[in-house]
Amino acid sequence: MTGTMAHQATAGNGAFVIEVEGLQKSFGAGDNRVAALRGVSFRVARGEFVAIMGPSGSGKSTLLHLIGGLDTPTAGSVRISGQDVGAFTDDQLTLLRRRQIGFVFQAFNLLDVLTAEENVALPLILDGVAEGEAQRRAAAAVELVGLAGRRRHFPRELSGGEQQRLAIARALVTEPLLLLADEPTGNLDSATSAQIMSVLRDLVDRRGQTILMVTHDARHAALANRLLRLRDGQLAEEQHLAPASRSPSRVLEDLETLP
Amino acid sequence: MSVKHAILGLLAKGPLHGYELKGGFEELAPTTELNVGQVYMTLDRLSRDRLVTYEVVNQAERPDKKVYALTEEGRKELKEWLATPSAIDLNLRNETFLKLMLARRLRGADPLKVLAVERRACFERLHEVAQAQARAEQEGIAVHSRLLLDLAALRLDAFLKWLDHCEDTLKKEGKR
Amino acid sequence: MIRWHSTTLWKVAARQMLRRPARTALTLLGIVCGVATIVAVTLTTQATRRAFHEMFATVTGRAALEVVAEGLGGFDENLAAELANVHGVEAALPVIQTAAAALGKSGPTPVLILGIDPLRDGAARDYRMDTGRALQADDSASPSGALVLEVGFARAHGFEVGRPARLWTPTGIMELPVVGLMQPRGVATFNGGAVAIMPLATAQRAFALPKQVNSVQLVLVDGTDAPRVQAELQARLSTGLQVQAPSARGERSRDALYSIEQCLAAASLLTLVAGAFVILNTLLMNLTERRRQLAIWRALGATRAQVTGLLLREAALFGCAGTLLGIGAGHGLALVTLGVMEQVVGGVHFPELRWTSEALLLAVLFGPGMALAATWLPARRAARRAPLEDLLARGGVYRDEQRRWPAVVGAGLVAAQVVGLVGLAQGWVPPTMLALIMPLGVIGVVFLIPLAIPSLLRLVAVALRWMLGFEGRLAMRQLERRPTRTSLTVGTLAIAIFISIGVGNGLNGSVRDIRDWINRVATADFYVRASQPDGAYAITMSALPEKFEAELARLDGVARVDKVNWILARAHEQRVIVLACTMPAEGPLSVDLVEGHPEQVRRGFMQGGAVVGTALAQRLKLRVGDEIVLETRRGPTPLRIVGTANEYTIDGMALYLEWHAARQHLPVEGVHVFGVSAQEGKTAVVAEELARLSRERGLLLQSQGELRRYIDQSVLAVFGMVWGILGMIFVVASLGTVNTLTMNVLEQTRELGMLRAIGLQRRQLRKLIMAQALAVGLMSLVPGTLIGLALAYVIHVFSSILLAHAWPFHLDLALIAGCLAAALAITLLAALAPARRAARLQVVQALQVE
Repeated sequence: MTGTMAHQATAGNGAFVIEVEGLQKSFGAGDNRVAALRGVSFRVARGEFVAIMGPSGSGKSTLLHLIGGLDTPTAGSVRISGQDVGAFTDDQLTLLRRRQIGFVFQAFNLLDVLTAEENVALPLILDGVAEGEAQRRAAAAVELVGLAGRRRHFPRELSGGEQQRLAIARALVTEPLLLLADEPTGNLDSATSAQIMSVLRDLVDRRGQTILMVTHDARHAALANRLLRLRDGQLAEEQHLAPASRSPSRVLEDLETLP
Repeated sequence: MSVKHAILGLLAKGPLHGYELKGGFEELAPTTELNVGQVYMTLDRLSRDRLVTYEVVNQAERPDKKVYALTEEGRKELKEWLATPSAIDLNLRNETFLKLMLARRLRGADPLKVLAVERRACFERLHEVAQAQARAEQEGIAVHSRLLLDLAALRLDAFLKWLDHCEDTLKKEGKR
Repeated sequence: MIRWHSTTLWKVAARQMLRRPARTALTLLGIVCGVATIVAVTLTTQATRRAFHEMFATVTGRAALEVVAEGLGGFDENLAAELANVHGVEAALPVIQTAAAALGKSGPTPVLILGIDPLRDGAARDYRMDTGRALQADDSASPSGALVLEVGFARAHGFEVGRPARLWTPTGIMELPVVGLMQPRGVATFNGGAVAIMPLATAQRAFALPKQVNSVQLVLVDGTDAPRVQAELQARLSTGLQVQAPSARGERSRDALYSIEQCLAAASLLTLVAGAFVILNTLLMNLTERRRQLAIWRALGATRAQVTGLLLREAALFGCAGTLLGIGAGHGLALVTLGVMEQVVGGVHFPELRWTSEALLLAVLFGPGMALAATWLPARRAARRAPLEDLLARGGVYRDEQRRWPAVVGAGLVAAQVVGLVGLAQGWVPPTMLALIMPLGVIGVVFLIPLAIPSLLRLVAVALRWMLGFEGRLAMRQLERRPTRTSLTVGTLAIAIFISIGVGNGLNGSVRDIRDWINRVATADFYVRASQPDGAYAITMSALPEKFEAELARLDGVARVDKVNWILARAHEQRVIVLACTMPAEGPLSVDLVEGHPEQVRRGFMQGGAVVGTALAQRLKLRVGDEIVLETRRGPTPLRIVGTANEYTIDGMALYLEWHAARQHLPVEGVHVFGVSAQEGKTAVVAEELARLSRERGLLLQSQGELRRYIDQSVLAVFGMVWGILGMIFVVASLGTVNTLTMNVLEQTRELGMLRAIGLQRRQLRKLIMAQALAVGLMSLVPGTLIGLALAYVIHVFSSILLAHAWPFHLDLALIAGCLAAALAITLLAALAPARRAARLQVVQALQVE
């Protein structure tokens, strides 16, 4: 099992971290059958920051769950670093989630019986990393998101923004191929949301992290490099966004011509 | 943008002459560039209305410049202006709206395609603005610039939401 | 991989347990009760067995074998010299080993007499003296004799070196000078020091065994194979003599306690079962509460095995904590039960409690074992849940899924128990299995209860609505939502109820029957003896001289004097007790006759026939008219059975023989007890006379009433122990109820907050919780009572078969009412804390709970 998943894949077929082909997912049976995804295809390269938007019911969260190995497709394929995860056993999927993928959820989903540092170290502990080493790497991740002073606090003692930053640190601690964020700013106020988005943006810019983020807030999606719009379970639109080149003042000037 | 009242406001702190007023205005509202002629025209009107007065100052080797100051009336006018709510520019009859409405009527024109195009462009702008916001934060740009950027972002977001809403409505209409 | 060495994960498990301290504590208490009970019963059983085993082994010292006669009577002393020549025998010591009563400052007290040859005895026993000297060769020749006692015993009863000690023997009171006091070592440790050593010659005089001994104790050459020598010797010995290990004498005492031990073992296993259900219930509640949390683990990359491992760690911690505490509690409990056993056996002093590896193993097995067994399956199921569903769930209350397999397993277990019981009754299954069979059915019943829950819920809902209006209706809703939890809670309460009713009814029936028996058997007005016999009639049986009969008969007002001796014998390879007794020529027989007409029995009895205990008759499959073959000095002797009787001594393995008839077959030396009956209206006079006589001569006197009370006390002591354990089951059941009710309140927090917000008062809220408790209590009453009645009947049938006599089935209504009332009281009590917690809910916080 450890041999089949190359950590930080130098995948044979190019630098595509994610390849989704004709992905379909339906729930329920018979008259109650609901098609959440009806055939979605796209590819994500290393270092891309992809935002997924769409009205509720468009299947965006389902898409994320399928890519993250939390669910299995009804049809079509998901390839992570060239590996078709549709054929994975439960244990293989679990290892995928542990080593290759980091999750950030809207509800933070931290464990309240663990301190901040322990929460971050958890994926490493599950992987059998020695306690000392795990603690060291966790401390580094915690520092990266600026929470060094709060390492020994429990999640309930942290603010919403701090908790989400902690969740991000946890998602990063195994140096995953891919970070999946499901409405990461959904439970936060605008100031804190901006903070979180800046953390994510930083990860892409400075560390080349590949991020896939589902959001319903256009202002946050606008910080990504690429936008995928889902509608009724299908990819309605795709838009590449150029990186910043102009100073804020120039941007402001141009805006005078806006509707 | 009411230049007249901006000048009154700038003079409230003390007399200024023409160029100083232009500079002051541009500092206040960085996205605008004022025409000198516009400034002097406004000043003339203001003085005619007795809201400002001026003094001529002799300068050696330079043309005389006029230094303007606020009158009591001018001060009152300023105070009233500050206390009165401004007209809100909702920009309802924007071009996008026109295009959509026309596209609805015309055969061979697909309002949804129009929408998609507009949306892309709007999002592109939003992307720019969002990045500018991030940089403004980092580079410590002045507050009023940042506030304007925030307004831009929110307006663009609102516009995008409206476009999505138009799409839903048009689709429902299409089904009927 | 579960990675058991990861400290972080153990820390997580520990912290998880501490998050709900009250629930953890209550569940832990359940385990502790179970483990403590098992430990206490095991320690006590082992202590008593060891006591009896070692008791007689220490007396014989280095002698590995002894030769005794049937009935422990006397035989030619020269046998010792003969046996000394046998290959492998290093020394053959002639000994008289018997019981007598020493007259100390507080009255007669039983001692073991060892009549030895001072020259040769050193081969088997060492005598280390504290004061004075050991026996010497000239003591044998000395006409005044000599006596050596143990120092502690001597001090306790006022004996000193240099002063004479007086002993009751079958030949009368013997006075011997005390020449030395032994240190409490070796042979001097028997029964707390109640040992007296005298020269063989003196013993022969005292116990009317001229040129005889009643035991030859053999020290074997180092390395000799004892069983081989035993077989060789047995072949050489004449009939009526047998070679045995010295500890064989202790086996009778072990037999006597057998049924009690079985009872206790079964009861303790049931406590354990109840404890296991409490763990299961708590576990399921924890798992429900933590669905989201466990889903997060899975999302982060914990495999199913790892999640199971996490939960098993918690179970292990629980179990270990339970074992540690249970060991402490068990030790304390064992001290209590051992004390009771001492009282039951009577006259025997048990040594200190010693921890054995077996007891420790059981504690370790049952603590973590119970916890892990209860956890394993639910943990696996929890780990197999799809994480996505639980991650996305937006709180609210889930409905339990209903599964079918518990009912199947339950039915299977109950069937297994029925088969087991039938097997026990028919004898295919050994009686030792009783303790294991009982819990099977109990577990099975609890598994079947979910089938009945819907009907019970409906039934109780009606009652509750009528009693408590809309609070009652709300109360039922939560119980309906969580059928598994409700079933387990109702189940544990039902266990407590039906066990109490079933076993309690049986116990009460036994007590009544024993009282009836004693009433019929104890016909004399007064009983005179030298010492109170121990429960097995093996250790403290001392005899008074037979000529005392005349003296007693001469007293004013005495109508008749009867004699009874208890003689250890064997019949048909079965250990039995022969009661040699005199019987009046007219009037009531002093046996509780079952088969046989009284007058015919009397005639037959006088002619040497035997009246056999019903249990013995059943065991040997004999009836009136058959012959029972008794092992005697002269070999197997057939005796005609003239009647059968109810007999509680030694579980009914007894037979009655007429005094003189018995004497022909077995050694009857002295009299163990005299029964004195007074003439009409002269009871008080006789009482006075006997009291005076007892004081003067140092005798034990008991009136009939005092005898009955004495027996009553022992019986009640045993039953008290069993009731104690049953009470424990109630405690455990109530712990489970508290847990359930608290959890229900927790789950309903939002709902209750909403009710408060729209106007429900605090006291109405409290009423709601009490209503839930009442509902659970009422629900448990139905299966509890029904099964309890069934169990009472089964136990009754069973006891009749085992004891081979039937007493009428009687339902003790007071008992039943008491058990039901106790169950209801316990549930209402269990509701107090949760109700208060519910009443203290802060509305705003409650509404915000997910």
